[in-house]
Amino acid sequence: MKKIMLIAVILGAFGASAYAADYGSAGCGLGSLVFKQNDGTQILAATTNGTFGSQTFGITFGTSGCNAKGMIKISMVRESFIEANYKDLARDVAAGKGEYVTNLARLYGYTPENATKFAEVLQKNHTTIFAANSAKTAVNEINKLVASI
Amino acid sequence: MKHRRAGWLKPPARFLFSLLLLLPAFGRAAGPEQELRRLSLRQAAADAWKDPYWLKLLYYGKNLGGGYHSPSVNPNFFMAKWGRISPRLEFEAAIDGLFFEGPDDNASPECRFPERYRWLRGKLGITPVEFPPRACTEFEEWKAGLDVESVSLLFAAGYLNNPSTLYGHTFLRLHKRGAAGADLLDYTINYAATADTASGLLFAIKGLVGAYPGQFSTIPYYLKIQEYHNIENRDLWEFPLNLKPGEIDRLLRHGWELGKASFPYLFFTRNCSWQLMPLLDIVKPEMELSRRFHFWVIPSDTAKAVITASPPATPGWRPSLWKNVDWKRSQLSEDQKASVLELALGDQAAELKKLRTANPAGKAAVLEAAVDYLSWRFYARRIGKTELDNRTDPLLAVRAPLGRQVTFTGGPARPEAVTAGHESFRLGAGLVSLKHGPAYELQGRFALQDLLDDPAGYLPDAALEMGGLRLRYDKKFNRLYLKEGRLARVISLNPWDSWVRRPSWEINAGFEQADEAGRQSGRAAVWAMNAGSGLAVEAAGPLRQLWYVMAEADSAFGPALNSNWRAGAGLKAGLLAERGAFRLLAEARYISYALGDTRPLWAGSATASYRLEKNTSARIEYSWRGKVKEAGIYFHHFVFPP
Repeated sequence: MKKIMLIAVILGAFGASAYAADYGSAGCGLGSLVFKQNDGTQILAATTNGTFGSQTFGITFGTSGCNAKGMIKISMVRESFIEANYKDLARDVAAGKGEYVTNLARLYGYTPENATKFAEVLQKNHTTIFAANSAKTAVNEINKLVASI
Repeated sequence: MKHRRAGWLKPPARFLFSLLLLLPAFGRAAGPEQELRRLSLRQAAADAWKDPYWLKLLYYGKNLGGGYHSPSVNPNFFMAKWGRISPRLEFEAAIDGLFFEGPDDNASPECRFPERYRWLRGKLGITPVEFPPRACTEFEEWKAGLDVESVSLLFAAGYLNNPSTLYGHTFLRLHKRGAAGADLLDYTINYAATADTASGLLFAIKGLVGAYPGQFSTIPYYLKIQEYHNIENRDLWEFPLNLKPGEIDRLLRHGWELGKASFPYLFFTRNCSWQLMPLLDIVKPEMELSRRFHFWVIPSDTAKAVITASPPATPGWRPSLWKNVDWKRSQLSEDQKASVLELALGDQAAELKKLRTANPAGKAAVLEAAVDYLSWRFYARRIGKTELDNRTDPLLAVRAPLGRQVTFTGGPARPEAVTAGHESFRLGAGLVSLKHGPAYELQGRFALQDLLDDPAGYLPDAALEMGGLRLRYDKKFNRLYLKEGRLARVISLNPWDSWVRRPSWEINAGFEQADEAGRQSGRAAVWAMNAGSGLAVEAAGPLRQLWYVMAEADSAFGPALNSNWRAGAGLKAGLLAERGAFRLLAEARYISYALGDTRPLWAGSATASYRLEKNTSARIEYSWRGKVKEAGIYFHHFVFPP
């Protein structure tokens, strides 16, 4: 019995430290991490596979399993940004400040000086923008709001 | 690749046609004059292919037989069929490329390899009149899209939970012109392996032999932030390179070329960090980075090498997600902290009801902290996406109507940058007192830190050691032996925190002397592997203390043991204390073996270390293992790897 207990402990401890190894694998990049199917990374996977442009550029974009190249298409810049940073953006919009709001404001042509108005409008309409939990809806709602400013 | 396209007209007819229609651009037309010009260019440049810059641009090195060889396994990186092994043929192909007759974009060699042709034109003294510059709209658009004003080197601090990125990662960030605080919209230049789904041993082996191709990519900076700041919870350091406009142009022109290359990715030598060295050497030759690295490349060393070779500048720092949460927590009252936990883990609806009467600023602070904490829990894989959404959305819906509120001020405490840390390679000498007389020791350790080395610039409360050798000479027996030959050891002590609930753990593998086996000094070498998991608790006082206890699994193989092996389990407990340059580590372990040699192991040590200066330290140690006791004094010196 003592033996069995000890073996169980051995296996348990090795298992516990092995979990540290059972994680990501690409050299030191997003690589495999992006394409690992779990909650933590699906957002990124969607982003890298979906929205990024298919233009042929000098440096390939993305890594394993992802053949898209180059930079984000101009028409997709806002949506890509919102999609990739959805949760961070939702948080900053609710707070009415923060770098994700500032950066989005920039994508809509605002300078840091006049971005306050942009942040205020978004904050007031937080629920409308983010209730659906969809980047597409968020883009459409923000576009409408910006047009009305 | 051939660059002379078969036209729809026979050559003489095409020549006449060209003369008629394309008189101003006669340099491009195929004809006898052009053939002669091509030959004369080739002749004039008989030795130009030996130019060091040409060899550098294609990454040629000499192989054992003395022949040239470029590591790129992607043939698109070369114009000539034998370009990979012949810089001369590649150079000749580049000359032919000047006479290319197809459309400029994409297809024309000059648009595919802008930096090679910039150099070639200068080297051969080619005038724009003779060969007008090609209109490379795709490259120009790409360049305009990046609109680079400055470049910095980013260093993501080491991360113990992913073995392949233990030592950190480096990449370049291209700062957009006039970004004015919109940092996230920049692009990065990143080099990484394209790994497959193989895991564990196969992955490690493939990584060691270079079976994975490494490629450059331009990943948006915000994705790198998601990766390092959020998912992996690492600090990001930013070191400005202060490149001049001409250097930035060269980086972009050559970067465009590198998109067509892929190099074998080798974890220890040709890794993510290494490949930036020759790239930066091309951009700014006086940096001379690649020649500083030979047998292994540690990202923090490449970061240091780049920083040393750049003009002094203040580094930027982006704290990890957890550091942000921890800092916000430190500004909350005890009641508010309890409220955050209730919102994130407990009965959220009831807690939100309670919060209705709170003052708006305090309420906003609690809500924001709870959202950040939930975000950390999600990225740390404590909760799934559904729970994250279900718990975060109601909090944001309450927060937004509160409008602008001053919630948190200041920021997390900034640790010391990697530049403040000791060098990576450690040399040591020691004088040891054994029961039967003195012994002398020489030590060498390839990387990087143990619990007693000064952690400034590295991860605190952690050990990350690879290739640690201790050679001992025992005077009485006139014997030189391996006291310790450590393959790897990783220790991660995580002070217990009710918000984080992270265990402490360690893994270890290598040769050591099993003194408890009762053999003569130096005759008990075994291959030992062990792993442990447990808890650590932090305590304040005159010295900062970290107490820990771990359940251990242990195994060893060697002729010194009965039946040549053993496997068992036990306990280990210890204390790490520190103040300024002084640190103390005391630990003891008891292992009981169920299989093989069942004699138990009772061992421990007490060591004090003092940092004399950045790269020098001294230690005294008392230790016992079975019945063998020893005391020693050691001197350590850190150097940049040879």
